[in-house]
Amino acid sequence: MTDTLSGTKPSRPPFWRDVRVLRVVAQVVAAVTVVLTVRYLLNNLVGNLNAVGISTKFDFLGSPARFPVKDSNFSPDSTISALIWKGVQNTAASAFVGIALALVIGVVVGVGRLSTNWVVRKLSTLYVETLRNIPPLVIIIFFGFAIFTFGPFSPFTPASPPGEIKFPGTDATLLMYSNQRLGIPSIATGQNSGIFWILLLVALVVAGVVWRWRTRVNIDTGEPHRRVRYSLATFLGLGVVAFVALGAPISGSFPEVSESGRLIVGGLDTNNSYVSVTIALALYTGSHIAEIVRGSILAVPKGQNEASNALALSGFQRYRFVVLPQAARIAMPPTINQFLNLTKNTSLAAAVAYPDLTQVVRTAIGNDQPSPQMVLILMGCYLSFSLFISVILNVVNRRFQLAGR
Amino acid sequence: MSTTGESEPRIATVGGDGSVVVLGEDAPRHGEQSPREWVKTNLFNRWYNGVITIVLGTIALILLALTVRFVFVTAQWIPVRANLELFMIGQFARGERTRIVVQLLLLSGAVGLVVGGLRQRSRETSRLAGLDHVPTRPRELVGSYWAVVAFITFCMVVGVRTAGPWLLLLACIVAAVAGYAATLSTTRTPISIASWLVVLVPLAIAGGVLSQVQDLNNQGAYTIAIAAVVLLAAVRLVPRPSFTLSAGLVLGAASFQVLSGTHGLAWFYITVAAMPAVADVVGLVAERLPVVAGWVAAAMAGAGVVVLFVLTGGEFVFQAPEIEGPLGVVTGPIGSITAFLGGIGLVVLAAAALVGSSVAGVARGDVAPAVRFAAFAVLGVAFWAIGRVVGLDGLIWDSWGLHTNLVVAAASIILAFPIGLLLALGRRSSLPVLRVLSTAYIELIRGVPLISLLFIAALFLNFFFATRTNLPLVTRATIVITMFSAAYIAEIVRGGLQSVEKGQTEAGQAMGMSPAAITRLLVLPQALKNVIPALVGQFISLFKDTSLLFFITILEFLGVRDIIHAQSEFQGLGIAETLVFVAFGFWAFSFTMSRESQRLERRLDVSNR
Repeated sequence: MTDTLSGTKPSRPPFWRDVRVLRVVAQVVAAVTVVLTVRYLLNNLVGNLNAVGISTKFDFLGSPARFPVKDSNFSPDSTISALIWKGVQNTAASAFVGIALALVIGVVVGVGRLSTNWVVRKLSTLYVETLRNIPPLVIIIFFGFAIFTFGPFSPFTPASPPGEIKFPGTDATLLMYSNQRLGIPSIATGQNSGIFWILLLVALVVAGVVWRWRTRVNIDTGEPHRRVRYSLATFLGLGVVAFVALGAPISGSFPEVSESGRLIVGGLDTNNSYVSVTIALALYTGSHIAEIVRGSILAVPKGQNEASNALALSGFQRYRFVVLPQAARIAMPPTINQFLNLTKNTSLAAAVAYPDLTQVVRTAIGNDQPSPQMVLILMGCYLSFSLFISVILNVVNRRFQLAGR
Repeated sequence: MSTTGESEPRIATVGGDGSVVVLGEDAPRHGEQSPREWVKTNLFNRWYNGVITIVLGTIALILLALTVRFVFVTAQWIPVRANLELFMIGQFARGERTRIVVQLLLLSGAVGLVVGGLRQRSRETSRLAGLDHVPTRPRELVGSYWAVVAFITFCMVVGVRTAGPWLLLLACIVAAVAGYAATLSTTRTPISIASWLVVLVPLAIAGGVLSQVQDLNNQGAYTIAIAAVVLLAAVRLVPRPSFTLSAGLVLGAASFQVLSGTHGLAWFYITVAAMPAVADVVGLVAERLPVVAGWVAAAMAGAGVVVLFVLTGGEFVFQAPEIEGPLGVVTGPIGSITAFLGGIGLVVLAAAALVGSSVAGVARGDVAPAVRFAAFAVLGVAFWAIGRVVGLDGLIWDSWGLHTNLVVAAASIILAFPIGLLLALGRRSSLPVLRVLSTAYIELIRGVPLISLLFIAALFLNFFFATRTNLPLVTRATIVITMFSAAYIAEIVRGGLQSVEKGQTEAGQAMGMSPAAITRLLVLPQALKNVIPALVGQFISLFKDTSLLFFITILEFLGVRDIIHAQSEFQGLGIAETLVFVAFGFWAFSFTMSRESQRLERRLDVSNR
């Protein structure tokens, strides 16, 4: 620099000590090394596969799968790509429900670990310290075999009925289980149900408008907004009107024993392998999320709690309006990580023969489909899952974070 | 230095892996409360809390009663009892059992030595910093280790019918205590040395007897046992922390050589393990050496690496009859991985780097690096020669129950650490190509489940290498688990690098340090210290992940169940019990490690402030 200022030509170091040259050289060397290594490995792979007569093309995707998929209407004549799509759906079904359950469990237990109630605190700690130190695979197998294999066996007779829990005081079944299937109530669609769903959506929009109106009233006039009450009343009122007007388009579907006495029918279509995987992963991931929630709550500055106390907020109000919104911001990124982990862990479903993506790929490989391509597709699918979740949640996260932080 | 929670603000952070760090957490204090007050504030402070207490309390008591009834009354532990050995070491070759015994003894001694060495070092650090040394309270240790102790006790009580395992346990405890005791006193009176021999001589004799009990094919284990005793004695005579640590690490490396054989790359591990002591001694003597010694040392370092390359490279690449590819097939489990990772190119690069940095150091007038590298090279050649003479054959690494889980997890994390470190530095590099390559690798691996990589290992990993390469299945699994962990470790290390304040780098620049020196001397030590707990967390999750080896037909701890219940006498018998046992085993180790990492974290933090 001084050379330039004094007008003389800047002297450059010899090229082997010139940082600009070295940077380029280092990058070229790195790139060439990686390219050559990958090329060497891939050449070996293709050569070896050809030598043992395994195809390296992707045309097998159009050929028939030749095996059925458990608990589904998938026919053995469908193609391999249809099979993979079926696996993707099953994985998504498990991951989606599992994430929702894990979040609920995690928040409840995480808050429970900081409860003023000694019993709650200790039970939450017990839950977290137990579940998070056991491999998820063991938990899945535990639910899959050790618990559900002891369920009542079909065929059912009046003397040996399936396990059953009724709504208190009614005849409707809340839960029915056997060693095959877990039945929970669901909604059965009838005539006009499509219109009904649309009307419900409209009701939801109207309720949203009511919510905003009450908020504005509160801001403008200062009278209590009571927006939850108003919106809920609007939504339910419109819903009931639509229900009556369309002549009961939907009804409850309850699990019951089939006429043959062998199966549990009705209710939500779940089988035990799905339930095992989903619940086990929700419990496992929930224990991790609980730790995140606890840490995030503790990370909220103490002054916030003291300020809430000074304002005479109740314990619930303190959590709802002061602590949790701030803790959520801190907890968001690691929780997203846990969602990703849960999604990847659904690949362990193969242990209880739930036909998720990994399991169908494994079966296909067992049925003489070429393994390198199948595993490549498998990895690609999970990569897209991960990307999909992290993109969506990162957008959410960005909206959540305080500006300027 | 007060560590009571009340006066300090609560600080908590959430680590990248979701582990939570709570510093100065308020312990509920009820010392001054009467039991009545305690019950009121903790159980019935609100009406709804009273209801919750009663409902949950009842449920908890019922669960407790059911658990107790299950464990002590209804559970059928017969399958566990009859197959405990299968759970622990799987189908380990019957004639080779002595290796396991020797390995456990050496490992126990190593643990004792390393713990003692760490204690010595932390005492010395405290002394140099002018702080009081805070000794570990027994209560903390109980809080960490009760789970593993409970598991071992359970195994012993439920499953052991002969005296052998009890004796082995006793011997392991004696070895660990001996290792630790070796580090305790710094005085060398004749009486203390004599008392020491009283412990060592029976140990040596026991090692000799053990090696004769069963057919061990050769004298390798006995030689290693003797070497262990000599090492312990050496530690006693040179009371420096670095010596103790090195001795512990050498013992640890040796304990695995008992299984994997002293052929192959045994020299490499033992040399690496000896590094702390060598570096320490060189630091003491290098200042008094003339510059010409530095040149000689640089030449020796280069020559040593070349000799090692010719000797071992020749063994792996050109001569050994069972070699079937450029990377080779060796009998030892870890040896083959290192052969894979430390290919020819790496050796050449290492030689160039060693000579280059030695020469650069000597040119600056600093002889120490050259002497240090020369010492390593000479040690490596020496250990290689010793390995050849001792000549313990390795076993083909196979399905060994819980042993497999522990060893695969440990080997993967150790091998993955350097790779992860490089990836993390690459991801933060200012060179775009390096950054893109590292980021791509990390995100690719982190985006896929481990099981898909294990499929690769099981189905076609061999196809990536030259024709007819045939690595054992467990080795292949270790390779992919290493690749997998490297990506996660990279992210952890990156977090640590980011936690180091920028002012540190700037201070280094102001001092005129080179970027490499800034990273090596300023940033990395602080960054790595910050991430030790997170690394332990990664190790725990890796240990849990080894249960996935079950999917690729490796007989690990969980997979043993399938074999048991396939036997006609245990078909359908105690399915839940064996699973509970497996869960208990995984839980005990993971829980203990996580407690240890929390403790470590508190300690590191205390010494920090």
